[in-house]
Amino acid sequence: MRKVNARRYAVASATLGLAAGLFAAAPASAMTAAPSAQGTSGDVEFSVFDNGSGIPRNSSFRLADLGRHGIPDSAVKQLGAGRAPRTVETENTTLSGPDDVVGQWKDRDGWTVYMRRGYYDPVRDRGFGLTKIEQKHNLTMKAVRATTQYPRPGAAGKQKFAGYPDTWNYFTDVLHVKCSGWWIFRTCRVDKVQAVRAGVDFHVKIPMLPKGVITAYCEGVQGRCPDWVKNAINI
Amino acid sequence: MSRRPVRPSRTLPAAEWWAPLLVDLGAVQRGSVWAGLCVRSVDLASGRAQVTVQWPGTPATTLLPDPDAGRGALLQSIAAAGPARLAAADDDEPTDSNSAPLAGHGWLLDELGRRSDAWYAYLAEPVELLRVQTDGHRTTEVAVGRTSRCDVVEVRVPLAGLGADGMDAGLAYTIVERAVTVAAHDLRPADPAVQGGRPTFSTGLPGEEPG
Repeated sequence: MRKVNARRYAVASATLGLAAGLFAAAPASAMTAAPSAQGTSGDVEFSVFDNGSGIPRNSSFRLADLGRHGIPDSAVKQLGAGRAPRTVETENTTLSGPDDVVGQWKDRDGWTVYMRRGYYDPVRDRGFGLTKIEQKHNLTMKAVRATTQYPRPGAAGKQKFAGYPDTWNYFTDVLHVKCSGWWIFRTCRVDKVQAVRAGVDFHVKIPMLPKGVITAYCEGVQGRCPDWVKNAINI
Repeated sequence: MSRRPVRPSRTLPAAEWWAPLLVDLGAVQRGSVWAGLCVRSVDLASGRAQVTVQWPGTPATTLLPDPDAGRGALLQSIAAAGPARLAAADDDEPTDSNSAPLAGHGWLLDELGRRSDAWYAYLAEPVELLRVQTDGHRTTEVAVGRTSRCDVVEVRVPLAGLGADGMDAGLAYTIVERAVTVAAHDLRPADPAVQGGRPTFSTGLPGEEPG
């Protein structure tokens, strides 16, 4: 009996510690984000980009186990508390031309990927770059960056589509997860998988720099990707 | 699981079988505007590429290139019929010759080949590229087979200035989506109205005149 009480005390202490850490560390954006569950029990839904860490797709897992899959502890704690962790977009939005470079990063293999502002004309359904990706496909620069940095393992995740000069497609999966139970001990299961693809031109032009990301989209989804794709907690 | 090409290219397994050929034809077309070369049509409907090329004042020549043979082999087979050369890899800066209709046609061939994912991953409805043909002056028609509807929509693409300012990147997706989403009242019977046993319609790009 004494051992059981000791264990309960330890769990309660850890819980209080987690709660203290949560409220001390949670960014304002997370505190104001729309919760997907009320409080520490009940259902929680969220999504993650599959970063190759082996998040189970066909079996259940504990919410607390997400820490082993590269999900920050703070995000796990927020989910445990029934809050939806949100990331803050930090991209520069002060430039104005379609060919302005609004972002650049290294892909999985160290190649530099450029993102241009681009444009989107919904009447003519024309465009490229970040503006089309945001307005037509409901994705973000962070989602595209994650797709290029965490594509499926091996050659399957990054494939050449044309040479002279090079065009490549990146592929990754975004996992929608549902959890039920209590706190960070909720039981979770992947209930939807959405393939995301990004097409990138690497050839030199517009002067000296590649055109970069032409577009990114959810496979087989005409127009807008579901919100949960861009709202993944690990991008 | 990710979607896969209906028939993958031998050299680029994630691309459709005709993709390398269209990119290579685009390079030959753009590099041979000076000679008046027109890649009049690329017919893919039979599952074997038939390419018809023509120079001013000469009869058309039809070739049966191997799509994966490379641009050197393609150039050789076209140059056997008339003057031709390849565009330089970075020959897409806006210039007077790049804004010529035939340069726009070459740009479109390249764009279609470069983004063959548009044909099998972009939309839910299955589509196939059947044919690309041009009048060499005003428009290029891209024939899109709507597999589940057993019909064909030819999307007309105006050539004036096409691809010259870098703003048309991604047009392949626009073409494919147009073929699938076009309203019935924006379709006109093509000429001929039945091609390969399938009813064939014609339309413009979104925001442009349908007929």
